[in-house]
Amino acid sequence: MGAGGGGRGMNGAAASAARYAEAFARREPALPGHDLAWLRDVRRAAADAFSRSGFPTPRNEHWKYTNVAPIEKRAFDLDGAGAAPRAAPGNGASGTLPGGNGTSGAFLDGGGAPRLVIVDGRLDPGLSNLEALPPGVTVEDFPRALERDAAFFESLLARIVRPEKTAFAALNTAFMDTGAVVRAAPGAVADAPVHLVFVSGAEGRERAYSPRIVIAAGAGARIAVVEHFLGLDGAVYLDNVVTEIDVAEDAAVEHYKVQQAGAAAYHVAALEARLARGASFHSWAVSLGGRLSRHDIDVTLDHEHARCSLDGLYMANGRQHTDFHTNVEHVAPHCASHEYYKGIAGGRGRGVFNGRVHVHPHAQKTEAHQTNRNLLLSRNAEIDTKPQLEIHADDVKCSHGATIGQLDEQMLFYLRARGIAESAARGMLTYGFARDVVERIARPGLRGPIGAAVLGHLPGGGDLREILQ
Amino acid sequence: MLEIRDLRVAVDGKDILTGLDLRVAPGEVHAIMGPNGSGKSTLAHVLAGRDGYEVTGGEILFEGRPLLDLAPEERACAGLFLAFQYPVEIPGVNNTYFLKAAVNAIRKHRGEPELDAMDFLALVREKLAVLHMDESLLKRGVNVGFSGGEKKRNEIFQLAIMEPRLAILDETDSGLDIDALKDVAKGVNALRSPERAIILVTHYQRLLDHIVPDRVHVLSGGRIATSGGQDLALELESRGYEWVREAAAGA
Ligand SMILES: Nc1ncnc2c1ncn2[C@@H]1O[C@H](COP(=O)(O)OP(=O)(O)O)[C@@H](O)[C@H]1O
Ligand SMILES: [Mg+2]
Repeated sequence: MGAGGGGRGMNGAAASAARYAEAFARREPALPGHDLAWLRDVRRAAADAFSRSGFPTPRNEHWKYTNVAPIEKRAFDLDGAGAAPRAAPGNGASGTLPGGNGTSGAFLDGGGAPRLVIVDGRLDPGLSNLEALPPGVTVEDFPRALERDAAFFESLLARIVRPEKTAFAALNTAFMDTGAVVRAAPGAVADAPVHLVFVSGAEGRERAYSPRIVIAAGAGARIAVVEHFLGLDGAVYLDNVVTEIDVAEDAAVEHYKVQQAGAAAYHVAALEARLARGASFHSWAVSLGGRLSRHDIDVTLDHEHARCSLDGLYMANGRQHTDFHTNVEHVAPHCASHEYYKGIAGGRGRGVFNGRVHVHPHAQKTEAHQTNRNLLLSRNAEIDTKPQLEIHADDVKCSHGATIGQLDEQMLFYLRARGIAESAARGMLTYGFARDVVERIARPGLRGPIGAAVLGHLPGGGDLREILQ
Repeated sequence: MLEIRDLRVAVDGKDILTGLDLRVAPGEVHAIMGPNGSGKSTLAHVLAGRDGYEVTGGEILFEGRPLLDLAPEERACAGLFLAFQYPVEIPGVNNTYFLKAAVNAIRKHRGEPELDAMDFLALVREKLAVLHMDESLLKRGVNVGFSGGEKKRNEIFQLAIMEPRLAILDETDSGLDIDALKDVAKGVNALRSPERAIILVTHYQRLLDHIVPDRVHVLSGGRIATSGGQDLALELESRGYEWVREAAAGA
């Protein structure tokens, strides 16, 4: 895809690409794993791929409704965390995060769940706590993991999320310098979810962050990981995240994504899971923050009896724009996928959902179900939904349904006729719409704080705390 | 308590009520009967403040204040309650949460302290018992998966909890078996008091055996065509509504 179009001049696109290329050349000698030949090749190929493609334009079918020109135009600081220790706001024993969302504490304070906290691209040992990890489970920050066991990455890194997949994945692969690696040995079972907390924008520079997250579950292992992105509300920055998930035979991975980027931030995240025979993967994602956010979630089912469920909730208020693209490749027979996504847009908010399910010719006995329901809270809000089913096998059970609606006037009247003020009634019905997605969170301990975060993003939701009970 | 003067209401440009007068004093129970489509629910909805009805004339005073200027929630807080003919299901909004929010909204309006969890639970248990309702219904979404009878009981359960000044029951009796009808009547009769008034909208005389009204009105041709006592309901039962219509047309 060439640059240009969408109101952007060739010069702007070329200048932007040159800036990224120059930053890459400058930083390459010091990027994590720079002494590994294979990784150097991977990074260079990715940087070249980005140079060729530039940022996508709306002429690219996958980016039709999401114009990333504002990201291209920003001259984000690409210099990374640097070598000097971070000037530490709120560092150390206090256990609270600097600024940002008031809900952050809810996730971290309770229960002493294992957590890795990365502030502005740098591991914060004071806020992290990995003491409670069960045997066989390791959690490290990305640069350290690469240093300690490079061999582990060679067959995995950039193999699940291919850099050429999107310009953002290429950019992340070229620059990846922070992130987290969660590994579970065969048979390891972690009862408590591992929290990966990323706080962006604390530093004041308008940075582009390139965190890489790798989750690998050995045969029969069972783990849950929470990716929680927070940011300072005034800060302009870009989170460009790539998550690669490898689920071995009969293993089960639950992945929770909580996107609470700062109100002025850009958040782009690509996640892909590779499933072996009998493996299962559950993705649960909520997009709440950010000026513009985009999630790509891809699952390839190329071994029999693998199954995935993908659930998500996206909310866009004010002038927020949020986009979910899911893609499930049913390659092998006897696999199942279930998708359940809901979207809420108010103000001038804009939501996009694109759910592709591709059933390959040999994927008989496939079960693939997709539901996408959307709620518009205002006249100026907009949601585009596009289920995309491509079915090339005949002995399959597939279904899909997409709806866009408004709050039901009869329900609203019923609540008001019982004395409940209109704004509160609207809030109740809106949370009522989102509730079943929150209830799909398999971990009761996560349901409460995530439900509270969702409620916190609803217009007037702050007055409805008790609805969570 | 309630005074309706020359009320005229149109829906989609069609005149439904064409000059309805009604006075209800505290302590009274009035029954409004009438054939299907005569405008009984229209009247009930206009009283409760539902959108979609065009009031083209007349006025309504509730405790001396003009009712039509108030939002539905303000009417509820002022003490008006409508038991719906067709209660809507509200998935995702828990019944207990909803009830507590409603009770406390009204208490707050009255300047009373909010009920705490214990007092609320005690109140709820007491009223559930009167209506023979299972506590498990409270854990569901509002009316979600309730049978027709359970929905009607739930309306009267809410009525019992809210203790309004004026209750309007829109065909609460239709579709109920005799046991449910008795429970509903018990719930309503328990509320009868010198300060409260009740309007029973019904199609059948049956309910009036259990909740004996002070006045019976027949709604026909967009207005109260005739009024009387309990014996009027019995006469309607034997002679049908056609008789009223003819009498009204002939008058
Ligand atoms: N929302 C509406 N839209 C159009 N017509 C309506 C609506 N509500 C009521 N009507 C009409 O108004 C008339 C009275 O209806 P209703 O008040 O429901 O009567 P009842 O309750 O006595 O059976 C009927 O002719 C009905 O078709
Ligand atoms: Mg009716």
